[in-house]
Amino acid sequence: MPRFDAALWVPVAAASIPAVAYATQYLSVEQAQRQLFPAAERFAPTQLQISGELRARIAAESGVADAAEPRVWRALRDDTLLGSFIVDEVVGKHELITYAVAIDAQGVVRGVEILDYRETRGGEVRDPRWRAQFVGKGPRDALRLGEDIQNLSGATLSSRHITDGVRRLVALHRLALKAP
Amino acid sequence: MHRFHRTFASLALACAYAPIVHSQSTDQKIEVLQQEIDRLKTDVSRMRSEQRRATESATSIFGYGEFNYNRFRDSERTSKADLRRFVIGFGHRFNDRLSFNSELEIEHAIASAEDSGEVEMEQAYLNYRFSDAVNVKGGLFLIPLGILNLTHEPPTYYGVERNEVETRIIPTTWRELGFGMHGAVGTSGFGYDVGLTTGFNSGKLDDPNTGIRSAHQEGSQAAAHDLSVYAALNYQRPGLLLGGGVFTGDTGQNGQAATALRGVQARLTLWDIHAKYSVAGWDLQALYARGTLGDPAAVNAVTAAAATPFAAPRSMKGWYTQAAYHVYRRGDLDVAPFARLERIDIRQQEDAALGVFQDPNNLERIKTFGVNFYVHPQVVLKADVQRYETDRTKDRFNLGLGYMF
Repeated sequence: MPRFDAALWVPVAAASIPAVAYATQYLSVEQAQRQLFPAAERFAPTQLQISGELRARIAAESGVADAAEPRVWRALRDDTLLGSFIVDEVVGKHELITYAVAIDAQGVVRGVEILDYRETRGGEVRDPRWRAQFVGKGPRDALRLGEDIQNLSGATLSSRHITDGVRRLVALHRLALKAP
Repeated sequence: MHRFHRTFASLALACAYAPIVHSQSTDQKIEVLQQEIDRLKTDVSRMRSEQRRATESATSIFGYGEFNYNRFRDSERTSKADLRRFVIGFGHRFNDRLSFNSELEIEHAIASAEDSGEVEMEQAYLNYRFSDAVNVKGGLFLIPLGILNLTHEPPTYYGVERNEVETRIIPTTWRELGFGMHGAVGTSGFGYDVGLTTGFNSGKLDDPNTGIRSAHQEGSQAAAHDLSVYAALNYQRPGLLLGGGVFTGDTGQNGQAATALRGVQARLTLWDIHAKYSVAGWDLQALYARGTLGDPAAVNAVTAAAATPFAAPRSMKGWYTQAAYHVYRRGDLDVAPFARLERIDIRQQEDAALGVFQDPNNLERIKTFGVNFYVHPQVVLKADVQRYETDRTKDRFNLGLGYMF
């Protein structure tokens, strides 16, 4: 006999109705900028032209070959460069994940934020404790899943691809954005 | 395009106003222009990004599979090479909230009247997201018990063959038809999944050594007189997974498959707890699963009449512990030897009148030693040896090749 009382689900359904205003975007670019560089007064967009040669160097250094061109802003305060704010996209399992990385003038990661997440499973990468693992990592760190970045069970591909993406952006920053 | 127009308009406006505000210093004018240029650049890059997303298809294809070779020590057993699984998945996003997910599987390469292969749906369900905390799903989906049932792509587990506890006690890959609700509890790391689904059909029991497994219905014209409910709770933080699940429901199905079960409840309750921890190059994992089947004496009427008569399972339990260590990692290459110890304990309802007794092979201990060699994080070569303490004829050497994308 199915022992199931439909009335039990009514409060559940009712509780979920106010959530309808929700969209997949967790943070806008502007919100992520404020979160990652709270001290910045201005974000100056930087037109990044990734030449074939630079792309090859980034791929060689990071081990990640990706044709995507990330969007880059310089975070400024009183014309002092605080660091770079980079928005990039990687494929999680089969959908794009939009994320932002803050890299300071020394090339060290200051934070990672997830802007858009579209898959049914693997959303655990939004966990602040998972993202906090990137803080303080730079070009000298492995930045590899299972080594200095711990995996999230059940979100293997999403966590791996974001880790690879951050490693690529750290290499890109060192080779193309870091002040000489 | 409208963004471009807007930006150009504001830029033109800024230029037009420039002569009027001639009291402004040149620096201030440059500042205004600088800001406008920044906005223009931002808009251009946003458009490029939106373009990429627009060309990204709402329909996606993914897959996984494995090629296995089993060589038994006992010459009576047939050593085999097999395209064990070839799975292709389709997903589709109707909008930001509503999506479809499916996996179609071909087992043993060929499915025909002469071959033992199967074509089956592993899952096919629709998911609607109200929020991260509240998703509802409907269709044929995986039951959230154990570790392997939800995450079963070959590169995600150690050993060529899936572990025995999550095969004979938890019937991986286990899916049911029904509705569920799932989500994350904020960013606490807790995730829940509850639902109402089809359950097992004891009238189908025909395998003496796999507990309740042969009674699963896999969404194929499933007897649905008796439904089941499930609930699972998992906690995650980086490197750690702790969780458990429970599934319960009657399996008599009003005797639809076997008249002897008319009016018999034969309630099945199955639960598990599991843990997975990664630290300093180690991957540690443990699981305990336990189940009970009600009215086993009545179910004996079915199992004693099976092609191979056997006593109905009345209680099932199993556990395993597993440790792996990453001895070598360079770039995509990763070599991880592992060891696993498993215990299976399926107790049966003996009946001397029917001539069915406890099968010693249902009290088994298995040791597995081997290595996973990743040539890429999503492509793995595996090799291992397995020792069975009770049924020594199953001792074997396995080789496997697995992939996922």
